[in-house]
Amino acid sequence: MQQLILHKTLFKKNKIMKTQKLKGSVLLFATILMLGMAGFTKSVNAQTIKPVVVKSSKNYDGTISAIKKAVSGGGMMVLSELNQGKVLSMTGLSINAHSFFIGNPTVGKEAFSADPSVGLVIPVRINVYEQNGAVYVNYFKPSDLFSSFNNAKVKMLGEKLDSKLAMMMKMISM
Amino acid sequence: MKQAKTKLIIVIIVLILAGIAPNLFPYALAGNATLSSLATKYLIPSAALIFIITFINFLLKYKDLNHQIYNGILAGLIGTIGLEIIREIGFRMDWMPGDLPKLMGVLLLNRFADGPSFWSNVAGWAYHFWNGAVFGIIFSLLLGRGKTWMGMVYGFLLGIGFMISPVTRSLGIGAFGFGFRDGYQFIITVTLAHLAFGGILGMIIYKMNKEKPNIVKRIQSAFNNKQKSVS
Repeated sequence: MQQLILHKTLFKKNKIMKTQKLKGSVLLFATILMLGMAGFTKSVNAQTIKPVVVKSSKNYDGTISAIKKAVSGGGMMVLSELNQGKVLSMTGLSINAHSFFIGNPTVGKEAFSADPSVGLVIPVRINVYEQNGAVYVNYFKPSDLFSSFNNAKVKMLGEKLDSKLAMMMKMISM
Repeated sequence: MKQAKTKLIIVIIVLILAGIAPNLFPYALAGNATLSSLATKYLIPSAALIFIITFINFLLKYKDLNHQIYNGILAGLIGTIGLEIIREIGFRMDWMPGDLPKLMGVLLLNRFADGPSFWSNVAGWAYHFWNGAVFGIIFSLLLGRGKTWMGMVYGFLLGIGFMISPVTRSLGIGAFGFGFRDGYQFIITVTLAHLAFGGILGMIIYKMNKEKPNIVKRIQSAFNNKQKSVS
């Protein structure tokens, strides 16, 4: 009888331990799955960052000129330009395309002081191109690009630049 | 009177030419053109023409007019040294958003993305001091002898003009630099620097431009038959 009771007790203990182990495994698996999903979602989000595309109301040369004025009016400077159309003409391709690298030294100083690796996304790149007779301006929102940096100051600068660029695009599309 | 009219015309031409250089930088930063292209088209020719005119003055024996122009250049250059002392102190104290002569240099040589070099610094400083020189010419020709306090008012107004120009907007600090740091550092530095410029300019011009007429006297002399013509 005593042996039976002991056996039953041991069996119960075993069962409890197994249940606890099972619960622990399930919990661990769920945690791993959730973390994996979060990472996957993040990378999916990163892959789905789309550029802002604005149709210009002006012709190609007028848009180039308007960009330069809008940049200045928006409290920034054209730090560098790449006349891709002209460069590509050396390959025989005839295309109207021009990239601007814009920023300003004050913002640059703040950003680089916070995180020197922001050189990857600063200066901000604005692209002008002509397609099917229409002229477009496209760029990636700074807040999207800057969100990859683990620095609150950099992220804040990204949002600030978003509004500046949006204002510039209004001037071009009018 | 004919001589007075000729001199007046020369003064007006020199004033126009002198006004070109300082306006190119804000014009470029307003997004209208690159400073390097403006330098080739307007800065160098305007500077060259000023010196050509002084040579013509020499041939016409208008020594007094040349003295007035050269006095303005010299006073403007020395005044710029005074401005630079304050600007440099301000920059070291982080009261300025950047080193302006270096910025002008990289824009002049179209090498912003590469940063400053020896020659871009030379170009930037030369342009900066030439601006001081032409502001000196303008002061000397407009005010004649003037006074020290007039120079300070002149410098103060130049500082205001700079602070509301497209330069401050494109640097991202807004008019008067209110958007820079705590809002007072830039305006204090620029104002003091330009007061120093104007004060030194006014003082030197007062000493060197004895009996030199201002623009009003020149106009009166050119169009008034009864008045003694300005020598």
